[in-house]
Amino acid sequence: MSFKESVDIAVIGAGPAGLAAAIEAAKAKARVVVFDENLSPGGQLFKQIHKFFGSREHLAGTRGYRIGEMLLKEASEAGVEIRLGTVVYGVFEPLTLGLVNGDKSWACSARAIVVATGAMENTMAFPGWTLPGVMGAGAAQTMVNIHRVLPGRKVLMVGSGNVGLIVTYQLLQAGAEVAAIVEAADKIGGYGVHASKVRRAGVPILLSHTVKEAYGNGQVEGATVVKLDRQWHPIPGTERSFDVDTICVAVGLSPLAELLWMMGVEFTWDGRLGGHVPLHDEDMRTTMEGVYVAGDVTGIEEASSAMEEGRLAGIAAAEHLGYLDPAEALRRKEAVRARLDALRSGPFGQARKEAKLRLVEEFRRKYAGAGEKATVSAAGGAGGATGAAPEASNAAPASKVASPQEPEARGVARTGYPSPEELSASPGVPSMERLKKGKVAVIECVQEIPCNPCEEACPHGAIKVGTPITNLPALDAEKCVGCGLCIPKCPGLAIFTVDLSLPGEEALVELPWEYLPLPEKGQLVQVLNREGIPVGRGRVTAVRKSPKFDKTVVLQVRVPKELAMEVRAISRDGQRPS
Amino acid sequence: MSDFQAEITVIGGGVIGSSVAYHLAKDKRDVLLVERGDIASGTSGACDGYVILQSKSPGIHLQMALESVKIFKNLSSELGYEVDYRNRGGHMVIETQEQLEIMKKISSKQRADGLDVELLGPEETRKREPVLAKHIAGSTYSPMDGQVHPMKLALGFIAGAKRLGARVMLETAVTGIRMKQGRVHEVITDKGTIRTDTVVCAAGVYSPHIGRMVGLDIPIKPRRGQIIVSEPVPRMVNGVMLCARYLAIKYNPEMVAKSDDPGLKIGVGFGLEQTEEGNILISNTREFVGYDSRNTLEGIKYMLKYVLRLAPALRGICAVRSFAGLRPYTPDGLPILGPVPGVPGFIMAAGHEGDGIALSPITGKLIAEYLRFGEASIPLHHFKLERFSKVA
Amino acid sequence: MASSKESVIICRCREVTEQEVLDAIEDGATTITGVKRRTHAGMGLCQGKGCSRLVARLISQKTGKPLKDVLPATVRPPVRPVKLSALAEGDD
Repeated sequence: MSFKESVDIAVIGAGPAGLAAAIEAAKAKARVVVFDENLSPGGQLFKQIHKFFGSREHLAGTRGYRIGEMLLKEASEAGVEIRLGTVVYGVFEPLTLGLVNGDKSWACSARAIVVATGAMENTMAFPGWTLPGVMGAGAAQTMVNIHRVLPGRKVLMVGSGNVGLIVTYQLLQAGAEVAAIVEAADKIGGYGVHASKVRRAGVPILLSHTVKEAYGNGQVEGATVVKLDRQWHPIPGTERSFDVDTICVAVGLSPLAELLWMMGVEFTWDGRLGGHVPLHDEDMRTTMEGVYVAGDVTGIEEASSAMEEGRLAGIAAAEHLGYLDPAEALRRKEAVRARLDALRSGPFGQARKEAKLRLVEEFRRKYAGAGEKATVSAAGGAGGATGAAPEASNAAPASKVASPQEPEARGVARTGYPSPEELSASPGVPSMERLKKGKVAVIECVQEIPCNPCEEACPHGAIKVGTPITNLPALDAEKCVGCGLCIPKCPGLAIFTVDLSLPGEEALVELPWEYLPLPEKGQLVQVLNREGIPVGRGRVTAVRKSPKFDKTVVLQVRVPKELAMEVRAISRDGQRPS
Repeated sequence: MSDFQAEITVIGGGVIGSSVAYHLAKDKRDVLLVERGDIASGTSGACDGYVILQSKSPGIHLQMALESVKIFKNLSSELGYEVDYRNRGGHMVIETQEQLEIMKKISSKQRADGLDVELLGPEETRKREPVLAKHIAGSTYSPMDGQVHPMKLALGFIAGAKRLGARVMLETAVTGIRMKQGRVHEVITDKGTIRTDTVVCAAGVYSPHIGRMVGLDIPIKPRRGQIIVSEPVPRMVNGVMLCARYLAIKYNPEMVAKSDDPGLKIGVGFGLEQTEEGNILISNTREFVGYDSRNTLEGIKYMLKYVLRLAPALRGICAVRSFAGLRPYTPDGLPILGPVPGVPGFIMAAGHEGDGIALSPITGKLIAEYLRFGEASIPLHHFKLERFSKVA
Repeated sequence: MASSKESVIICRCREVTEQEVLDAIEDGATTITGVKRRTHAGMGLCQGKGCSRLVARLISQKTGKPLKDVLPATVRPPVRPVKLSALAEGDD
């Protein structure tokens, strides 16, 4: 291919943001080519084996890799061309990509460029961090979920953001042992429901702790962790050793913005978005004409927001080139912005929403004409407290000083599982009277995260989330018949059913289960509480599987009545593949 | 009242300014160097490290280089800072019979000036530098050629200068020069004013800007040179190499205009050296594009097309980076050194184009000599600014 | 903790230690490029992808310069290692 090609829109990166951008632009009949250096498309989506959050239009409840498959199908139907194994080694003036594929290089001139290059994992320097066995959590996730290789047998996870929590869970699913999660902050960075999954599997989360060193002869043989004081200084004498062969580092991501720096677009800084990010407007337009951005390169969020930003960028780029008239483009953009807004709500999304709003306003102040108004965020109520950044940083804290007005986290944010107070205050947990009447759902979802698949999952209309989708799910216990169809739909695996109406001393608990091999019906098992501590014995009385459950299995376990509101898992001992 | 005081103020923290500051400090002069950015943050941080004598014109230019090499020999120990000077020898690679004839003439003149240089046939050349192509016509070789690490060189001069008492102000931009009673009196910077009797302008491509502050028209122009850096590899390039065509372009810029070779239009030359760490530096272009120091698609491609034609053994290794620097070009290829008429106290030390690294030691030494004795061991009149006004 | 600073590697490609980076900052480096120039941190195969953020943090801690003002080193093509022969081909 020794020629200079030209396209309408060149998209750099075939991850969720890039594919979504390409799809929208191609639907508007622009000629779009997506370039990606990897040999398969989808970016990080295909290693996301968990179910996504959000609502129906965000494909909530669908596992990440399935969303990847759907995007690829949509892209191919829209006429998007995807060039894999193709490195964009540079971008030159005017809007010309330098491309390499194997032994060939060529140039591609574009009328518009969408940069959707994603992010890279942050590193953390401690003595021994260069030993084999220390790796990014994302790298470990790729090994386990794409290549199906365990990075090690026994893992220490550093960082309790969603990445650290999800990868911990997936390492457990793959059969590794996770000794602990250490977190430098005094609260868990990620969603409580993700934390609860690993806590009931017995993984401790050590807050205000960091890795002091990794040691071993030629590879990791162990790690010393140490407690931190409120100024983030190690407290001498609090060192503890963990016998691990792998240390996964999940201390946040940084936008992979090299091509944008090379092009010379203007950047701004926001720690909440991962550092330096390209300044952009509400249409994802950068300060350089014809250059758009989407996804993590514009600030670290998650795949669902990345896709929505991609759609915005694709629509805007198509409009810029005249493929969409302004009215139609606006209609489409507004629909995307509404969905994006929903994702950026609640205590976790608020910080990102505010950061994005600030960024867009900075753009407008400097570049946009009068009258334009930033619309990245609905102006609605929130205003006040800043939520936790989804990625807690374990690295030394230049910018991480606990702000005095921030209340000390309690309950699930500290322990990783909801406290009795949180549960009794939760609208998803039925009363003791109702529990005694018969089988009923127990929704242990106590943080305002943008997610509502449970609402649609209930055939009886017993679960209500409403708007905004960060509302806690409310259970109408009178309507609930305890069918348990909501259990496998909850991406957070936070819904159970409990039946305290049986005669005798036993009760039934149904719980979501995603570990192989599955227990057998009739099997006697140790039952675990929310901390993963064995509290007694139970018998598996049903193993419910369905294609509709999408690989989440519902286990029914018969337990002593007094444990019915304690038991949330069974022991995996003897279940682990050897 | 001035904020700072110095007998001599050096403007510019590249290799030239750093060397001037070092040699002045060695002479026990009270010297203050001001640099707009960081040490070697301009041209000196974006160039190759050739200390090649063969590329210098026979005569005063070569004489400067020969004197410079004498200083290089012991410079690391003198400065107490390893600058990675390596006297590995160098080849001017000759591709055609036409170039061979030109090189025969140049090298015989250089020999007469005291340079140890010999003409080698293609086989002998390839035996010494196996990366070269079979079709080459030969080379001229000098065992006196070598290389140095440009950034370490500048940092080394600064380390030496500081140890001898020189002061350095980084991130300090000069915004004006105040005259009093017809001579330099004060340098104005964004960090305060400096009472000084003498200013040495070592501002490289920014010298015209400094010159205007005292009413001088300094005919230095930035000329972009693009360079590609390879991944570190075991030694493949033994000495330093340039092509004979490069020399021809350097001294005959009109050749570029006449040619229809797209690479030649941007002054593509062939230069190779391998650093101590194993990276191969592949150079170079020569382009007048103002102060634009970006790399271009064309620059990278045409440079590599030419370089791989002459050194095909490099085809399979990877580029990890490119960079580009602005060389301070002067119309006759010689630097501008020494006093200027009408501005007492203003001393020039700039305009070395691609020879700044090689000539920095002797430049610093000559400027220090001039400021001590009023004359230098190599007469500075060859390098005076006025030579250009006469032509104009 | 001097010994730990001497043993902690910041730039894996060029094996530059935390102490060397701190010395460079002491020598006047206030930018990632300044540290790179003095220590060669960021000059290896990955071109600073791994260490830039660590270096930025050390600069910020040591000089008090806010992280937002510690800009990455100039990005130049190629952003990934690319074979010389590939870069020379095509496009005439």
